[in-house]
Amino acid sequence: MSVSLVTCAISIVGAGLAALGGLALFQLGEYRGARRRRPEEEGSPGVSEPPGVDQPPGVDQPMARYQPMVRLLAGEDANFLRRNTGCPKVAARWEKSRRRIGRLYLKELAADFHCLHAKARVLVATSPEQYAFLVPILFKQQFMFWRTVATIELRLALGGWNVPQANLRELVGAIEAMQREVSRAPAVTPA
Amino acid sequence: MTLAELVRWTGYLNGAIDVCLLIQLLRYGLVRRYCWLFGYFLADVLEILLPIRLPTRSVWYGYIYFGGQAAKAALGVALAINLWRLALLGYPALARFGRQIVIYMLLAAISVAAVGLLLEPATPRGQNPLVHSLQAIEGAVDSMVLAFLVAAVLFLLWFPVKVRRNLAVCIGGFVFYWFQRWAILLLLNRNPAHYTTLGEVSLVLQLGCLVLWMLTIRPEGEIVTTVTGHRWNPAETEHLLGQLDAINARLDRMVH
Repeated sequence: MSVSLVTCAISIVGAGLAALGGLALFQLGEYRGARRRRPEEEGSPGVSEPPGVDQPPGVDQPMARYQPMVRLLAGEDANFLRRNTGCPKVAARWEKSRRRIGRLYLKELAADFHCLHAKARVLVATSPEQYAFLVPILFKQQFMFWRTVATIELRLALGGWNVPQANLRELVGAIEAMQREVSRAPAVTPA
Repeated sequence: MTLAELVRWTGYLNGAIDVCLLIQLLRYGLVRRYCWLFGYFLADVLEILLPIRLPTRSVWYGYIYFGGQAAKAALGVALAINLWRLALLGYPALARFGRQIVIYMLLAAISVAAVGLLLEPATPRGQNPLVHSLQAIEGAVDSMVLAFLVAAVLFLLWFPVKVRRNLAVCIGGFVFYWFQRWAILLLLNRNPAHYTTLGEVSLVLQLGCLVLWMLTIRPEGEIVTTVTGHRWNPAETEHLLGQLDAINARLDRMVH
């Protein structure tokens, strides 16, 4: 390995570590922000939560948020347009918009998943010793979610993505149930 | 003052700060908790003090230097594991999981170090082959400890786990400390002619780390003021995990 390659390797590792340090500082800032915010909101001094956990998304109207996604991604409207308009331009434009909006919904879905997962991590982190087996489950879930979202993104990028409506309804139902669960979460407590 | 003299005096300054840190750990009653850290600083002081009257190129100087480096490498591994254990102390489930995976983390870190070792070039002209090999091994151990600590930091940030300020300073400082050691040794084995310059750079960077620890390790850094978390509720957690599984399963069905 030449000196320039070594320097390059060292720079890459150094940049990675600097990024890690930046992330750690960012996390610290988030904690401090959370600690400053929480007491005013809940009247529990000195208690903090990780970022993104304290405000469950869409708890007020969970089903309504994902209902349009069911219809949008089922592809019935696109098929109808293709069959009845006789104008490929309109169908193509519809497809393009459908993919764009589908991505937005997917982004929302990912945000909800991460929020719930962050809460689950906090719960597992504070759990007794015998629940250590839950830690690899959390890893697996995170990995599976990333893999699945990446596959969906790939499908969206490559074109058609028609999903059976029943599956989409199940998915939305699952999110709704999770959001209900989050809204019922107990208040934070100092250890 | 020549560069060689500057290196020697920077080494002494490092030793002096090491002594200050040892006194500080004793004074604040942190020796028991940070016993491996104490051992590491002690080994560093001995490595500087023992050859103080010996000529730099003597055989005994070499023995003390490489003996000290070997001791510090072993202590470094123990220290990294100790820091990992301390970071997870207040989190029983994570601590148990941490104990279970520490061997795998070490094996992964050894693999990373082994790759670096395999890429080592042949001994350059003008460098002692034994010195070259010892430095390569030292660099590999440093990269192993670095990889272990980086994995530990990623785990702690992902969960997230709150750690004592002293511990955070130690982990952060040692990530940089082992990174610079690994980087300098890597450069040194390819440019043995720049031994003195690289040695000075390494000593100055180590001095920076030591000063940082001296200024930031305090008794109040051990006090935990807040702990992040919800009241433990097994039913709720298992239900939540079930829901997360369901979301993944449904997403998976959408894909396949």
